[in-house]
Amino acid sequence: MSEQPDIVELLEECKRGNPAAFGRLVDLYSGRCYGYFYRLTGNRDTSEELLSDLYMRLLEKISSFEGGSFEKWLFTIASNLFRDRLRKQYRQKRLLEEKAALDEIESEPAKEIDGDLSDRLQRGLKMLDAETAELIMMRFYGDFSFKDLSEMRQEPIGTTLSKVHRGLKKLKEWMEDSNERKQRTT
Amino acid sequence: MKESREQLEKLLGRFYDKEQAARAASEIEVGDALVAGGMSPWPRPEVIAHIKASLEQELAVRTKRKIVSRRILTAAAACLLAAISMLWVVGHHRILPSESPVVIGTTVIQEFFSDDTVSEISSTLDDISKQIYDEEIAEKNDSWETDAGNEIEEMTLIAQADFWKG
Repeated sequence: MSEQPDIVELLEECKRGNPAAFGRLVDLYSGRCYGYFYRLTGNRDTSEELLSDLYMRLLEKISSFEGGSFEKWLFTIASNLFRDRLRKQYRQKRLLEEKAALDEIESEPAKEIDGDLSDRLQRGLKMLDAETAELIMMRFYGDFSFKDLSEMRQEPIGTTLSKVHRGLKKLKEWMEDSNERKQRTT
Repeated sequence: MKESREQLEKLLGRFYDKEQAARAASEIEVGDALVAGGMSPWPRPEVIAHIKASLEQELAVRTKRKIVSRRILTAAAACLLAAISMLWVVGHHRILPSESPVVIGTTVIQEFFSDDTVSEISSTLDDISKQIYDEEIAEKNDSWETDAGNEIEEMTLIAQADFWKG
C-alpha cells in the first residue's frame, strides 16, 4: 500500500525534525493507535503510556523509515511495544505471584467510556489469546488486508487468515451467548 | 486496506471449497462488523497535548545537540586541514622548519590564493618583517652604543685613578 503524497511530505518534514509535522502525525494517528492499545489492555492509563512511548519511538526511528506503507510500519512498532509490555507484565506477574491483582489492574471497566457493546467486546477480546486479539485489532484499527497482516507477522497468509477467522468466529459466538445470558437474566 | 467480499472469497478459495469459502467470508464480515460496532475510545486531549509537548522538547534537545556536534566537527576539520596543508606545503617546497615563518606563510598563501592576493599579502608580510628587522637592528645599535660608552667611561676613570702614580 503506497502512501498519499501529503503523508510522504509530512514524513519528510518529520525526518527534518519539524515539530509541527510531528504534531500533525499525532493528530492523524492517535485515535486509532490509542483504540488499538485500549482494546488490548483494557486500561486507559496503560494505553496512554503506550501511546506516548509509541511517538517517542517514532521520533527515534523516523530517519530509518525508507518508504512503503507508513501505517504498516507504525502498527509494527505499536505491536512491538504492546508485546514488550506483555512480557514485562508476565515477568512482574511471575515475580510477584499476584496474578489476580494484575488482572484487576488491567480489567478496568470500560462501561464508563463505551456502551454495552464495547463493554462486551472488551470482555470478548479477553477470551481470545493475546496474539489473535492483537491480529483482529490490527486489522480493524490499521485497516489491513490479510496479506499486510501476514507480512507484518512474517507468517504464511493461510496461518493469519485461519487465526483471524477462528478468532472472529469465537468472538461472535461468545458475544451471542453473553447476549442470550443477559436477556435471560432481565 | 481490507479485502472486498469478492477478494476475500477468492483468497479463502485457496484453502476451502467454494461453499466453505463463502461461509468463512460471511463469518469474517460479521466479526469485522461486530468489532467496528463498538465505539472506539479516544485519548484525553491533555494526553495528546502532553505528547506533543514532549516531542517538541525532545526535538529541541536533539537540534541543539546536532548544532554543537556539527560545530565541534567543523572546528576539528578546520584544524586538521590547516595542519595537513601546512605539512604538505612544507614537504612540497622542501622548506626547512628553521626557515622564517614569513617564508613558510608566504608559500602557504601562494598555494591557496590568487596572484593578486598573494602579492598583496606578501608585500604586507615583507613590510612587517622589514619593520621587525629594522627595530631589531636599532635595538642592537642602541645596546652597542651604550656598551661602548660604558667601556670608555670606565677606562677614563681607571686612567684618572692611576694618574697620581706618574
